[in-house]
Amino acid sequence: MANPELSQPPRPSLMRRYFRRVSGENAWFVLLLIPAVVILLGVIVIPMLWTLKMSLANTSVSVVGGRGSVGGQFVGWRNYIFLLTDPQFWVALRETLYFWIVSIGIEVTLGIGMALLLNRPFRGFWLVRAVIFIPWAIPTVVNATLWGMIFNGNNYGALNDLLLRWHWIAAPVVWLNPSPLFARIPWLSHALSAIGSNLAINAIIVGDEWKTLPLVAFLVLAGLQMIPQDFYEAARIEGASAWTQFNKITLPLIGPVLSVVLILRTMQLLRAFTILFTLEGYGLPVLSIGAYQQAFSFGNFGIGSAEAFIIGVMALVIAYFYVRKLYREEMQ
Amino acid sequence: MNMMTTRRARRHAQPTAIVRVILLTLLLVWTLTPLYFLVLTSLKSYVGTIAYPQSWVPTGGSLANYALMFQNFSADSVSYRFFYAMRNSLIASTVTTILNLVVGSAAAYVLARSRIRGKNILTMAFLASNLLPTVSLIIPFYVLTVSYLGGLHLYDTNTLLIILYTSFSLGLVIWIMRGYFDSIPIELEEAARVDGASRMISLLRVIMPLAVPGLIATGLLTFLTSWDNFILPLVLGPDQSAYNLPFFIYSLNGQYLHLNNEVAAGGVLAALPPVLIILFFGKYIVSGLTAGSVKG
Repeated sequence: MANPELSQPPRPSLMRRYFRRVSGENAWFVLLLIPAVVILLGVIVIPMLWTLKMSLANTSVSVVGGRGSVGGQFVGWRNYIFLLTDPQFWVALRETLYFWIVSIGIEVTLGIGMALLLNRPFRGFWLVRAVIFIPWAIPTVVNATLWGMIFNGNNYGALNDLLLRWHWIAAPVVWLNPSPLFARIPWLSHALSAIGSNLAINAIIVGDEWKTLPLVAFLVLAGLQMIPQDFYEAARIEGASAWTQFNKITLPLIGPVLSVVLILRTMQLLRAFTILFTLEGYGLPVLSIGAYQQAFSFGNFGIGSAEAFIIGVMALVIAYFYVRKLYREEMQ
Repeated sequence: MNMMTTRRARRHAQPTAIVRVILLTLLLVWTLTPLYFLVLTSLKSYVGTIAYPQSWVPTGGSLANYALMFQNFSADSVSYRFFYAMRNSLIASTVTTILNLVVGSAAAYVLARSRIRGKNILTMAFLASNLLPTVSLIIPFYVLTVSYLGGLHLYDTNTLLIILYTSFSLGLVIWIMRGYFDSIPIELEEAARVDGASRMISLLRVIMPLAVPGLIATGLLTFLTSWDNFILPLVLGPDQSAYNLPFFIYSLNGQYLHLNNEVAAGGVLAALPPVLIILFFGKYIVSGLTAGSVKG
């Protein structure tokens, strides 16, 4: 479609302009980028859209001899309405949010505390660091079964054994039972139940933190060690208290590291399936286990997909805020 | 003022040092007690694991539970399943790591250096894709694998798991490696190009060596993530051709009998490779993660 007027140079066709853009310099770029984009589309975007599609139908899957067929009629938003009017769903949502928020809270406070503790040099630091890091390397399933043994409700469970031995408890406690806390103080017990706190989820958080706190602490420690010592000296000369120094120097400067930690951990916490499934089966409903149960235990692939899609959208909303914050930090 | 602070510091020096020692001791006890209990349990007999009071010192410990993982190799024996689980885990984690590093750093390089429009949005999309929980994708993975892609016979294969693992840490690899490439001055590359190196040569010879710390960190992180995966084998690879160590440990938990001693022994063996990685390379993982993500 060349321009007929001779006075002007002919405008290259759309195709040619496209080829010019991808040839030479850019050809390499496109070539290098394609595999990652293919993976992103094929394994993330398309399955996510497929989840949406299945969630809008009463999908059923039948597998005969290794080959399956998918059936189901379009039902619109019915699966979502089913979920949103199901009290179980709200319990699961509450439990998921509780697990996530409490874990992040513990990690930010105790993680910074651990890092501050390790920040001052002392003899044998390398050994302590090596030892403290080990739990993070333990595979989640192994960690879950280990804490299953520790929190075992019989008197031979490790924690019960120790507490009985020291006469701190009179009878073995079933730690992994989702029973209310502080049963003797009704108002407190009710308040805690209302936000989704129970014995089992707190026990699981403890087991989960045993594995994940080390990484948080070491990332924060790395951030702490990047802060120039002159800042603290200057603050000390100005007469700033330890708290002011922490609040005005330490916290702002470890901000970027903290956001790394938050991203890594949110990623894992929304994914939290393994430790809960290994220890509780379907006994402690969080969203991920609910979706799994609907699809693979009840065969309700439509409702399962709807729940899975809700989790995905939640994760993407959180991801959006994180990523935006990261970029803002990067620009500064 | 200055006098006072030094005096106060001296007065407080002793107590804070003691508090620090106490806190460090507590930290070590908190870390080591569960580990000790795991190893201890792995040396017990089944009866020993359900006795009250538990013995907290290794008396009459035996390596029988470990021997179980290697002896009497026959179809569907514990050692047979352990062997395949270990083999599958090693293959899947290694291949995933290599794929991730090649694909991820190539993309990260483009996103750092090119002027392709929308590259920031693309980086964000990759990072966001990593925040997506596995469970929200597992249902379509299953359905597509058994139905529409059934002809490819991917169900219950390690290949399928590798493809899926690769997507799970790709975003993190791209994000961290892009930080690395951004921090390498473009002049270095231009100097190499002036000397006649092509873009590929300058990337492989000049840029990649400088990004090695990032590659080590993200590679190890990918390896550990894929080593740890449980839900994918649970749904997509329940047979010996694909199941991995976490799934093996999970299936050791009998339905009626919890053979804690065997589970503990399997757990110790499954934890050994990642623990060794952390002991030797833990420092690199931390420094790689922070250097790539924090612009100093």
